[in-house]
Amino acid sequence: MANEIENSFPTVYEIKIKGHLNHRWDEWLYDLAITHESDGTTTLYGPIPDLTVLHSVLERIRDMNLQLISVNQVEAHPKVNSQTKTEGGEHSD
Amino acid sequence: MLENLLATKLHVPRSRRDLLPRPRLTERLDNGLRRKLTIVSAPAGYGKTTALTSWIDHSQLQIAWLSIDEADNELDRFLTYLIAALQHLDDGIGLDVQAALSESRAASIETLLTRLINEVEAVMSEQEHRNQFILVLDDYHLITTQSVHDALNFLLDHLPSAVHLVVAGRSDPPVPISRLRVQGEVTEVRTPELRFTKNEAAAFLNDMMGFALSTEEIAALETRTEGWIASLQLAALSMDGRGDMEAFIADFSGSHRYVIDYLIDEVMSRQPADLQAFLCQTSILDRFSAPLCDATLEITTSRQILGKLEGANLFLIPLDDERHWYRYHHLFANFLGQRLLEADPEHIPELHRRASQWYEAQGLVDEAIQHALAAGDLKNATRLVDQIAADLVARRESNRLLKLINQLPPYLWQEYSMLCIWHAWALLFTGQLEYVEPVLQNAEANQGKALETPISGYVTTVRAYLANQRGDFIKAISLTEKALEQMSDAAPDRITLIFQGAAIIWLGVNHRHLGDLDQARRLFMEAASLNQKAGNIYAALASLEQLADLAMIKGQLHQANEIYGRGKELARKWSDESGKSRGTLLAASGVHQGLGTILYQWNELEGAEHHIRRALKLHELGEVWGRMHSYWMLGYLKQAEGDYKTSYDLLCRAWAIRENITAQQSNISSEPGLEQLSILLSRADPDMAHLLTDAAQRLETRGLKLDNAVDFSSPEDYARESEYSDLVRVLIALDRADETLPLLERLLEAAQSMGRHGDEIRYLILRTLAFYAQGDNNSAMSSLNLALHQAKPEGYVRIFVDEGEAMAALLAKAVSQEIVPDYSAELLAAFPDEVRHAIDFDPELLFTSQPLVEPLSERELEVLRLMADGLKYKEIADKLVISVNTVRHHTRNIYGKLDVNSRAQSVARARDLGLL
Repeated sequence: MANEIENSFPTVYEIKIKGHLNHRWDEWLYDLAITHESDGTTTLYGPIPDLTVLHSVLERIRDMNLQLISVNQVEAHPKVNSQTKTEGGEHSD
Repeated sequence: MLENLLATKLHVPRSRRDLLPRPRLTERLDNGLRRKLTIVSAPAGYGKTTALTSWIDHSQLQIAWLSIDEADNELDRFLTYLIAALQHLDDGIGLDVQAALSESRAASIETLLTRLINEVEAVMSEQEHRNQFILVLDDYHLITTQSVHDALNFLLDHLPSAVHLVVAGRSDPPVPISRLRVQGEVTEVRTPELRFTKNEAAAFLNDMMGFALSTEEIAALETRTEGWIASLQLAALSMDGRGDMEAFIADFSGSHRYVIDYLIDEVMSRQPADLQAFLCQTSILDRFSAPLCDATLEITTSRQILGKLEGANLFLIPLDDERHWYRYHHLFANFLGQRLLEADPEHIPELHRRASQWYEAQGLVDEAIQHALAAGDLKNATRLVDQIAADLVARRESNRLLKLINQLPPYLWQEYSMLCIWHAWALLFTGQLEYVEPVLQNAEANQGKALETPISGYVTTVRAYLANQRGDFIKAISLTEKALEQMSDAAPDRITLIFQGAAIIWLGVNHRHLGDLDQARRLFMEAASLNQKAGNIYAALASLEQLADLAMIKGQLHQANEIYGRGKELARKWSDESGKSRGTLLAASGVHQGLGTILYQWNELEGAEHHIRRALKLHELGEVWGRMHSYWMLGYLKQAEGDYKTSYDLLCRAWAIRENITAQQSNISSEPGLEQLSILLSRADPDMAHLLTDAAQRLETRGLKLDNAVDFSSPEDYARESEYSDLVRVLIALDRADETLPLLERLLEAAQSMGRHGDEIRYLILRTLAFYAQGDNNSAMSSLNLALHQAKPEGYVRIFVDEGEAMAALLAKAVSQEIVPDYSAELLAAFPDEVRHAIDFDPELLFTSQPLVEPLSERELEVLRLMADGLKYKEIADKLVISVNTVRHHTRNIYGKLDVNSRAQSVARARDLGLL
């Protein structure tokens, strides 16, 4: 049950990189929203269905030699309480 | 052309002449040679490959280079290229391993790699200067499959000392890096080492590119690009010929934009539109040549454009020295691909389609299939797969065919009747029997009408083989006959010949299983010539092996030997003509096994071991049953040499393989193995005697009848004959010989009536032992007498000697009772000394004086030898410089001592006694 909830609401991530990345790359980055921050960084934001995709995004970032600043999981579905989330996480991959 | 394309993966990228010298990197890499591994790890565009190639140019060491691409995630393919790279050292490296890779049921990867490593070690130790050589795996980050990672780690763990491994890529290879660091076995070259320092940036921009930038401007560029070489190169391209260089540097430095985006926009905007289009559209090609670009873009100017791009330094990387094939720098290719997707996405399938057509026209069907798939043009992809299916199957690359078919939708490939048939064939040969019939049925259903001849004959052939594999020989025969009938009117094209050849072998095998040996023999002879005509050497050799096997069953060792000799010649010719690779080497495995078995029977142990080891070497790479038989035969051989320890180890291996087969395949109860291995193991080690009891129990629970009820003229009992003979052996070994006599009579009758004289000898010997165990010495000797008479003309030795002490005692009796005394004595001589001592028999006595009241003198022996050579008295006298009378005197003495009356008799008797 927890698993189904996990699958129906993919985890949302926020990835920060140095520099301003052109919007043309969003297709390459699994349609993550590209936001230019005033401090010269770019935030990539959006749902990432599973860890494989997260790794693929990070690989793209590596292949483009973008400088990775941080990767954060964002609490996007408050309906799923944190305990269920942990349990689900054990099975989801 | 194909070779060219493959060679591009093995080509050491040429370092450009106008390269910035980087002594600190060269030195670091040089120092790394003392350790076994160098990791070069950094993002794209940091000059990893360039650093390596300029180091290699400078070091003058031998090099094997492999540029990895995504397709190398298939372990077989990775190893194929690894071997090809290693063949730069010596083109004999890895031929066997290569052959094994093309087989479906390959050996364990450790076995293959060990073989490969040993061969490299051997080649390196033969070299005069004992140089090191460097194996470079470039772009290893593209590998994601665990099996290839495992292979890399195995290679690293067993790396010969003369080999230095370099793994380069955008991420670290999954090797135990901490452990390697502690052991001091790894050198790491990473981004901080690879990036341009301020000095290097200055040298590059001012000295190499000819700008006259100030220290501040260089510092600004270096800071903005963070020493990333690709972006410094792009910056140089953007500034080239620009008047407002200061403005560019200021803008660029102040921008937050992703550095490559910024610079490539700059560079591209300065190129003419047609060049921009060329760059984007060719990015769909992993590698390209001018003709391929022409065809894909429907232009004619690619050669000039490529020349221009190379001159302009636009990230074009030549893949060979002749400048035929190129690729883009990966970073640049990604960008171009992205641009194409943005600007002209609808055009992309069309580009792939044209590339596919070009590759097809060049006969490069593999690449054509890949582009057809990328174009979403599944129809053409299917057509192309159909085109190469027959070749793949004939080359024993059934696995690859199956992989290709899996990428195609069934509704498409089911339209191609031949592709369905090859598909079914590939499934058969990879042991996936349950999927065969559905594929054939689908093929027939989708045709919507009855298949035409000879295609219907092909289908029936596959079905016949399926029945054969499932053990239904009667059905298999009727299906094969039907198949041959359906193909009888067909033109003798290659495919029809292949199917006819296959059908006839199978028909022969089925007749053999049902006991019609003469019919089987005729069919195998026909199959051998038909398959040779079809160029299907595998099948031709299989036919010859069947023929030789029949000769063995009939007790015709010499004839079998001659047939195997022909097979060996055929296999040799094939590998000479078609190149020593692929399946050509593997094809000789059965022939070597056969030759070894015959030499073993003749007690020529050295020659036998040579052939069986050769067979094992080949079997290790392929066939699992063959591998078991090779170990088993070697186990026999070591017992014959008295080396029971080694024999035990070898037999245990055979046992393990045999158990593995049982675990993986069902319905193999009739195959020999465990029982005979039990007997041999119990001989090798007395502690293994319990295996005999187990074997007896196993056999008895299978419903074998120990009385007259068994009837080997019925197909059911005939099919189980080998089980029955195992049972007899096991019972005799367990001292239960008395129970076996009725069964032995049946076995003997059957063998005699079918002319299976080889089997007959075996059963006569078993019966002799059974009588002897019962204390019925008279019956034992008369049975032995028959066996000796049957076996003598073909020179059987081991079939007697392997029975050990009891047989030695019986043979000693035979000598003293003058039962085939010469042959019996010869056999006795083949027993180990301790056995002869145990039965209190000294062959020396036999050979010299024992039957003689008085031994011959030296002179008499000389005369006797000359008589045997056919010399007349006068000639003997002249030769020995004595008188004719003296010769007559010696002759009379010889006759007297040998108890004979004529010259012919004396020669014969002397031969019997081993005097000649």
